[in-house]
Amino acid sequence: MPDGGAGYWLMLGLKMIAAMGFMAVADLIMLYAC
Amino acid sequence: MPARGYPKIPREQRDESNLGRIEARATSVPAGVCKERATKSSVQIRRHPLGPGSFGPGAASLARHVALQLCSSPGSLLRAKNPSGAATGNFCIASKEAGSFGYWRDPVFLLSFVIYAFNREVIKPSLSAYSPFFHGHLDDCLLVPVALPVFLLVYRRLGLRPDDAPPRWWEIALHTAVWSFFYKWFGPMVLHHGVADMVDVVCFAGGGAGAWMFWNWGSKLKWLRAPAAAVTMTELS
Repeated sequence: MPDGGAGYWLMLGLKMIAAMGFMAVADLIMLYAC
Repeated sequence: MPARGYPKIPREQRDESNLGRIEARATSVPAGVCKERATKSSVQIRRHPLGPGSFGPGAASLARHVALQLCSSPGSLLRAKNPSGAATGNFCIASKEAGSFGYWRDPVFLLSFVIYAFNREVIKPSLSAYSPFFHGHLDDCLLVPVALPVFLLVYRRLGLRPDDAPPRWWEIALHTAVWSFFYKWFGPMVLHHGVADMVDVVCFAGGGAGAWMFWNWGSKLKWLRAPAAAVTMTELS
């Protein structure tokens, strides 16, 4: 890992949450609209 | 024996010392923006409810960073601004052939999207009887080539993808597994929307395998290369 600090893990966790949130919303849109 | 280095000062005194230094620096500046900003920052530090070095400002800064990454210009896709290993979690190693995938400009994605739109707007309404292929399986086969580039673009913007390489086999397999679970179990069983047909899972996998072959082997064909790749590499060099 380039940086093992708390800020790095916090940023990574925030990005993972954002990615999973996008996936959930996009999947729901595709389920109901496509 | 005297202590080496700087004498230890309690944290509270150190903070006060820093604030005094900031304010002294602000007063030393004759006039103008610098003085105003320095005074303002010292007041903000002192009056912040959680104190200096707290979680709140850091979290707000991270939220702003993610929002900027998502809303930034296409130039942010350059590897120079997203170096490999920078807050990516190192889920995979950056490919040496990075920069060859165009995401929404990818020919396979564009062709699949046109086929999907044509089927939805023209073919389906013109059919008098139900066709299992056009009403069901064709859309399932096009799921991976149409949806995956958009997902990967978002991951790249977030910095979770280290390069612009074509979709890897495990990225296709992972998304196919998630979509199979979501559309063929969670949708029909929990949301009561959709049909739990295992043939559709085979179509997901088949479409993903076909797209993988085009994305990874088709890069050797000139007519399948993404037009954006040349621009990106030119900007990088």
